Amino acid sequence: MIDLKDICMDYGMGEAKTRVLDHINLHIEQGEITAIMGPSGSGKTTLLNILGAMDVPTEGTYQFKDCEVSKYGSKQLNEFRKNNIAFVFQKFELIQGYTVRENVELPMRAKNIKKKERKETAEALLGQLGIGHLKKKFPGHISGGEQQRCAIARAMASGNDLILADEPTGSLDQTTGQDIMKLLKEMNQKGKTILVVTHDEHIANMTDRIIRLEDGRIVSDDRL
Amino acid sequence: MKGKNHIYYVYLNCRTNLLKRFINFLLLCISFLLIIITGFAYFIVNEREYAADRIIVGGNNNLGTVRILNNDDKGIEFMEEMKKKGLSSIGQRYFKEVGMDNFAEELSAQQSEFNIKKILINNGHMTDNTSVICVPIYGEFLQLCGIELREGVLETNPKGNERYLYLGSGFHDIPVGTVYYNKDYTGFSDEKNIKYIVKGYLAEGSKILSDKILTSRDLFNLYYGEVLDDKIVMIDVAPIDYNTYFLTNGKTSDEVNAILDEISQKTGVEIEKSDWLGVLKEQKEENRILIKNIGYFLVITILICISVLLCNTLAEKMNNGNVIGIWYANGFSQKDIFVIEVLDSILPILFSAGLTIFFSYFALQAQYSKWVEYIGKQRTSDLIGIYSKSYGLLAVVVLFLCLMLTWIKAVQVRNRKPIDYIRGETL
Repeated sequence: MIDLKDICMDYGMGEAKTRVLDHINLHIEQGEITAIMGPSGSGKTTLLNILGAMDVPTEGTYQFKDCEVSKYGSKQLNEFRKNNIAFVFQKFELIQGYTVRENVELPMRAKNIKKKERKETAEALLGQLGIGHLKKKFPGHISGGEQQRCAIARAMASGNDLILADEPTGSLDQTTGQDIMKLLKEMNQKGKTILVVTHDEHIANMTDRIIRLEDGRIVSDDRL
Repeated sequence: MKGKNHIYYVYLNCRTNLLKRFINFLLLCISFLLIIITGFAYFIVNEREYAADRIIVGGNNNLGTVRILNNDDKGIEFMEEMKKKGLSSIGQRYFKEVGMDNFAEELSAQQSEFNIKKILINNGHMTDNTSVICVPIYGEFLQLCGIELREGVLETNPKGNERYLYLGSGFHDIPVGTVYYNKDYTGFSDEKNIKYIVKGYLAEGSKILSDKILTSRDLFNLYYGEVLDDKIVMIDVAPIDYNTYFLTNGKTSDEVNAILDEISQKTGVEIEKSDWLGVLKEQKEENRILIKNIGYFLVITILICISVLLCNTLAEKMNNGNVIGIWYANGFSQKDIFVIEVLDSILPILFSAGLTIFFSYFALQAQYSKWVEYIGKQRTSDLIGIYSKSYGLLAVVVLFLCLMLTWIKAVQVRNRKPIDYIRGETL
């Protein structure tokens, strides 16, 4: 599904130039759930952002299914993101001024899904994740765990195949974190490909594969 | 993304930042109101300045005034002498010291209307509820008016107790030659039996063409260029005790004074060489200062309006930047975000401007009669022009604001990668 060849990413210019990713080669099959681990500054989030088309690599090729994403312009990247990628962030990244349901509806609005279908899907997903009763609440009025469930509901609402989760349990206590991981596993069992960036060995051990990064390089790639 | 979704996110943005938007809306309304009112003041003072210039001096300084104090029917003789010496009288302004400026001349004009109205009512030509507007013109100056008749003959020299009436086309049932008698009040207590003779009908659409005819009304309320269909032109006898206006025809001030002194000695008419032109020049200067000050105020208001809007927009974006990042992460395209951001900036401006125009129009309309009085009755059509100029000015400011914000948004959205927004690099 995903093929990265010699992906490099530099920040800054001239003497201030820093290489964050250094010749990353990676292949990910459809339906995998993979953990990306590594110390701070090792390039985990940058790698995730490149996979999610939120950032563009300095060098290398990024192949997604049959498409060469690294050749895309900003318009095509937007389209690619809309149709293939869903994000789950550490700090949830819910819009504080929107209700839970309005947040979940975001990707469906981007895809011009009709009102009735949008509403039914959002409410069904919120119900599945056990937060149906919070649909009219604002994110500031619910707990961290509930916010992350809302973010997962939003990712599921997009219907996209690749879910990129950047430390999804980082702002949660251990029990809630494990609940969130269970939800991600359930999504994986339904056929979604999931990449989880994490520091937590327990969380990583719940995945099928662990890729470790150090100084922008892959130092290990273990299947569990 | 469909247009209604763009509008929906503009609505959500407004709902999220309700208090800020409300303050922004109020500030915009106040700024726009100031622009309209200041613009209106600027254009109306300008218009008056222009009107005064056009009416009084015709764009040059070729105008003189002399006050005839005790003419004893020698006023006409005096003016004839002036004409022979190359000073053409073009009109007079009634002047009488009664403790209130212009009171006597207003009284004179109102009295004429009152008398004619009384005659028409008594003879069954109109009901009590109808108003009649009478334009008194002195025969001596009628030739300058360019009045055209549909019926009858233009006569300009009524006797002392006669008045000639020329009726607007609205008065169709009074035969030419009809004579009325009326006891007119000619001063504060005098009563005189006056003979009114209908001498003819004014041609339809007839106007007083000359803008240099000065009747007994205030200088700025001249009837020049006014359609006379619903009016009655009354030809009055030669006036007494008036300020007489004349064209100097290129003579210097000293030459004019010498001629006037010479005529005064010859005819025995006592005169006062009043400096009306000087007063007008002073008024013009005051007007210019006023226009300049209003202009400064207008510019400052516009700058404040722009600054307020810019500061508010930037402040909101600084606090609200990662929303764009979340939109990107959820499949919104750059175009969607640009459209939402532009609409989000422009719609409140257009809404504020629309509301301000709506309310300011009624506020200005309430003062309509005062504005008409200020610029002169005959220039009411110009008032519509002043409205359009003021609103036009606001439209230019609004257009500028919209273009400026669109440009800012275009730069803001185009020069950043989606990840920059998630990282919080919003500006």
